[in-house]
Amino acid sequence: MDRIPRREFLKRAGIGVGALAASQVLPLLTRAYAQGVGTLTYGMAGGFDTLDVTATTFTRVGRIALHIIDPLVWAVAPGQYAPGLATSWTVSPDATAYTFNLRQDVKFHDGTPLTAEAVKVTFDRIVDPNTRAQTAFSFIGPYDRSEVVDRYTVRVRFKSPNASFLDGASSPYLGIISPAAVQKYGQDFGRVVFVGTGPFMLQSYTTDAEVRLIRNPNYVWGAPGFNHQGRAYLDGIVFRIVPEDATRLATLETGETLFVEDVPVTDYQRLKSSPNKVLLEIPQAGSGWSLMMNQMRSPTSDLAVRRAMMHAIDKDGLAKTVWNNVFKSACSPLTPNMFGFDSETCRKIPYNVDQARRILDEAGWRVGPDGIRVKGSERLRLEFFLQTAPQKNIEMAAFIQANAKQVGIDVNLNVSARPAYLDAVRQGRHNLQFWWETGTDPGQILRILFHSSNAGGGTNRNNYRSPEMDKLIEQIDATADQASRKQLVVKAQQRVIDDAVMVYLADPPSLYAHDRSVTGVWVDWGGNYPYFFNTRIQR
Amino acid sequence: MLQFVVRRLLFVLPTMVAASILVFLMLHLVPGDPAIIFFGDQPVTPERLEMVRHQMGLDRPLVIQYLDFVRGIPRGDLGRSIHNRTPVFEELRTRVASSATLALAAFAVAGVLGLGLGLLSALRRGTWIDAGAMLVALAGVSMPIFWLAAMLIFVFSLRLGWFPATGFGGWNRLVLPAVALGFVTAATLARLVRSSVLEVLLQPFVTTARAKGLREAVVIRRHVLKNAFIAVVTVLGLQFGTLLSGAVITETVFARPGVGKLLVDAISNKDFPIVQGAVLFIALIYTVINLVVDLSYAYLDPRIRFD
Amino acid sequence: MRTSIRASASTEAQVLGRAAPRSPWGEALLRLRRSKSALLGGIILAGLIAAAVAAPLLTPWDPLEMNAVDGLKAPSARHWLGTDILGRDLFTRILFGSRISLQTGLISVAIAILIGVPVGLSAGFYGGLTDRALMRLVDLMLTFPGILLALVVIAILGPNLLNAMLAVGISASPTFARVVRAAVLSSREQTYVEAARATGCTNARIILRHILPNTVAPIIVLGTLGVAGAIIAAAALSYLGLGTQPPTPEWGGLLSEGRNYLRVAWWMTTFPGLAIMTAVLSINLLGDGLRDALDPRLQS
Repeated sequence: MDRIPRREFLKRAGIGVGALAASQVLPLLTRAYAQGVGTLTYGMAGGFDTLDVTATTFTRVGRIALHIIDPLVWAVAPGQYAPGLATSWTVSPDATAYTFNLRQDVKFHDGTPLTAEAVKVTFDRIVDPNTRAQTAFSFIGPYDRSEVVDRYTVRVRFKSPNASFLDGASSPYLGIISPAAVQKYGQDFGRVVFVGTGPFMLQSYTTDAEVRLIRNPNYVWGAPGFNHQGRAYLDGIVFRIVPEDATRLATLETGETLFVEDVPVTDYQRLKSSPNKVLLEIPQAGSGWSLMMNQMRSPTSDLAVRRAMMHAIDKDGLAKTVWNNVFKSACSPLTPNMFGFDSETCRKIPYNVDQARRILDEAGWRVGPDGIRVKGSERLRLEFFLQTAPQKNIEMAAFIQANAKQVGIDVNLNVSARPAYLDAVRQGRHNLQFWWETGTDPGQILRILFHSSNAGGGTNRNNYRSPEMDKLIEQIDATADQASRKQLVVKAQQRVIDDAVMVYLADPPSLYAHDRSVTGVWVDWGGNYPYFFNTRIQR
Repeated sequence: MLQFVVRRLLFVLPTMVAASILVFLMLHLVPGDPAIIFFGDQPVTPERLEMVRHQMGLDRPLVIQYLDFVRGIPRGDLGRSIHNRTPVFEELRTRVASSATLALAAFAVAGVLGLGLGLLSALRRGTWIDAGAMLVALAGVSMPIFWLAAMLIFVFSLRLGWFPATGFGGWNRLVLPAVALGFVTAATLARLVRSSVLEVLLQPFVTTARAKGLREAVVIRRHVLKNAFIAVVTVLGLQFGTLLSGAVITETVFARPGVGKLLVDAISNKDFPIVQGAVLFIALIYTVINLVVDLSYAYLDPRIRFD
Repeated sequence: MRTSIRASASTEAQVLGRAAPRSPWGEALLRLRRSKSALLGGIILAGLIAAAVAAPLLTPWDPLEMNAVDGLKAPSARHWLGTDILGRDLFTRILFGSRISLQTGLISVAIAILIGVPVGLSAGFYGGLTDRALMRLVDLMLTFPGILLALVVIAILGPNLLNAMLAVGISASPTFARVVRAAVLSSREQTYVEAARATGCTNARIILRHILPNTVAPIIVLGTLGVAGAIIAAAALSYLGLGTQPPTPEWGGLLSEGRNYLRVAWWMTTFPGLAIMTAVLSINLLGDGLRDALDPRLQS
């Protein structure tokens, strides 16, 4: 028989010995990959389009940016605002003019001072078409112009009443940026550099990989609400992009990250009972997961069909099966922690299969031979358009499909790639589509979902056009008095229930997890922005 | 030999141009309007939509759009992404560095593992070692890569703590992704090495050489290894391009930036400049690799120098 | 090639004391039957195909039937391979998925053959300008890695099963073209072809009777291995969300569905992964056996 040539044998022996040696030494070396003391590594659930927070559509860019800029005001509770860069402010009675008095001790990361001019430049930039601002654009509302009253006083004017401006001003998307830097870097601002006044500065950005922030040593203007006003405790923050859920959670366990966002529901129990990890569960503000029903297309143009759908979906079952009861079932276009949430609406639309069937029977939809209802020559078939990701929405859709079949409605799932999906739903070829809205102002949420100006391809994919509803929304926007505003919000919710506009599915909590050694994490009341200004890592 | 090289080189440029035009046209066939995709689910007025479309340069005739792209190439200017306006070259640079590093590491793993297994089973043909090695190789070729990647993370990262789960920045982050990606190539290589080596071992001249009494080692070393390297070169040619841009799954699981993901996203956004730039780059790499492979063939086996 | 087969056939006949089989195909079949691994592969594959065909008879469950109460249950007597999050029986979904995966493999390869073989034949046989033009086209297609080609095809046509098959088939066709061309080139120079031409056979006749049979062997081998590759490619596409769409069960899609549940429901990824591996393994074993059987030089 052939013998292994010596060279071959030596090669293989060498590999064996090497592997043995490595297996002993490696564990010692590799623990070094945990980050340096004093740096927090944050596991992000995905990438994003640009670091320029005024142009982005991604919430996670807002999370990063909140550390690099400071907002004018901070939202401490629904409808309650505390000073940020602005020490005080006044609102005109018709809510078309806001006057802010700015702090005088603030400097941008490039050394230039914060003045009223900077606020004007920031806001003008958001509405400038060249910036292609998205989220920031919708947060700034019907912006007209800003006036520099004096060096530290600025007046922001709107074309029509905007009672929700303080909410927008508290978001990272309207954070104040350095005019000098914008002028210097032009189009590259946000890609190469990003200059604000925040407690951290941008050190580097590697696309699809990570964003590195380091502490701003000159920071002394921390907002009064936080437990200290000077420099941040952390040396820096590294935001690392780890899109695969299982991998991201694994990094929390191996120590590669100390804080992760978007904890999947399947890890909820394990993390909740874990001795050295902390699970943050914050009810998300906004509208939650819901089903939009297109009123411009048959058969969802039929009120009876929409009402039947509202009664046919077993929302508690959905929350249990798909979300492990981590998400709660929903029954209103607003989440329970929103200002003006009306719990009465829940009683109006219970899960009731028989009632659904009765509504359809009375409307003339007879059960056909295959179990699907027919009216004249038309089959009760709904086209449901959804995207290939996230996977949870496909699971939900399958569940809804089964529920609908029980009452005789045929739901056809059209899972499409994003371009084709957007094409279809913007042109209104859908009967059903999912929607998930987050936000902290009820007026904004209602406008996005129900105002006729957003119909016809915009965000109101219900294509719901009701003059009474439009008037209500505009009133809400114009009313600064909290009590009357609340009454209007309640009325709006009741109205959309009566008109059977959408099916409200689930109220999600924002789920974050971090190592027990991380202390002092602050999250806004809406659950969207974790803030590490007060954070320390105890070793 | 020189004539061979020159003829091949002459074809590189027209091939790249053809590939570039082909991709440009195909991308226009993809349904969807880049401006609408850009706005996604945000509200937008028709005027804003038109303005963005104009900014993206989509209202110009197709020919002008293509020529604009070509014009910038000699300067190294591949234009800017229409989706987020970053320079295409910048977007490519980091991704390419990351993908290339991974591809090289994976190939190193594949080379060592594949050569080892293949030679072992060829020299021990017919025994249990042969069967065992080939079974491992077959398993490698048949295994879904995501599964392997997830298992590697579970065992080596979570349970044993030897290597980090995410792979960016530092050699130890390369190990797990390289093994995951390289294992499949190793399996293909092992099988090919085995059959190439066997092909040589059963040739008459080997029997003749043995009959003449030449030492085992001399015979094997000279011919067998050369055949084995031909196999390596073949697999390099076939797999490197795939390793470079097809490693999307591995890069996603291990959280590494990559050319594959860049392409998938760019196609989804109908981001013409990025797709054009990335495809141009990939085509270039592929063509160069093919050229290197063909040249190696011609060098290693004189019989192949026809065309 | 023909002469050497014949010679070995008679040698074998002398050794075995049997009458020598006349056709090279019978020869090959004999060698195939004696290869243990090929036999194993063939048996497993036959079993898979039988299971796929008889799927509804082998399980009481419906692949799309949801049962919320039974969500994420481990393998048990009731659900042999466990359930997914919506309570659907995994064994049933894998069984019905085998239909789709096997079909996908076969049809993708069929498409690749339909495109690649005529191209390779024409290029090899006619030579000259035709050859150069067609091979440039093939080279052009080969400048794109397979997955990229598949991606673009699916982006244009939309993500569904049929388009996935088309995409995989198109990206595999250049290889078939090349292999067929090589086989044609080697057989074109044989003397019997010269003879046929001299006696006035038409080109078509020459191709059909003399060239084509010599290409069948490599096509069979490449095709068999191609089916395995196509199954994996289609699974990868479904995993990326670009192939079959839910709730259709397809092995790659099942893997994708299970990826987020690795720690709480290991069965959701393990069994579809094993299914892919088994199918691909058996096809590869068979393909290897076929290659050895059809290549006379590897007798020992």
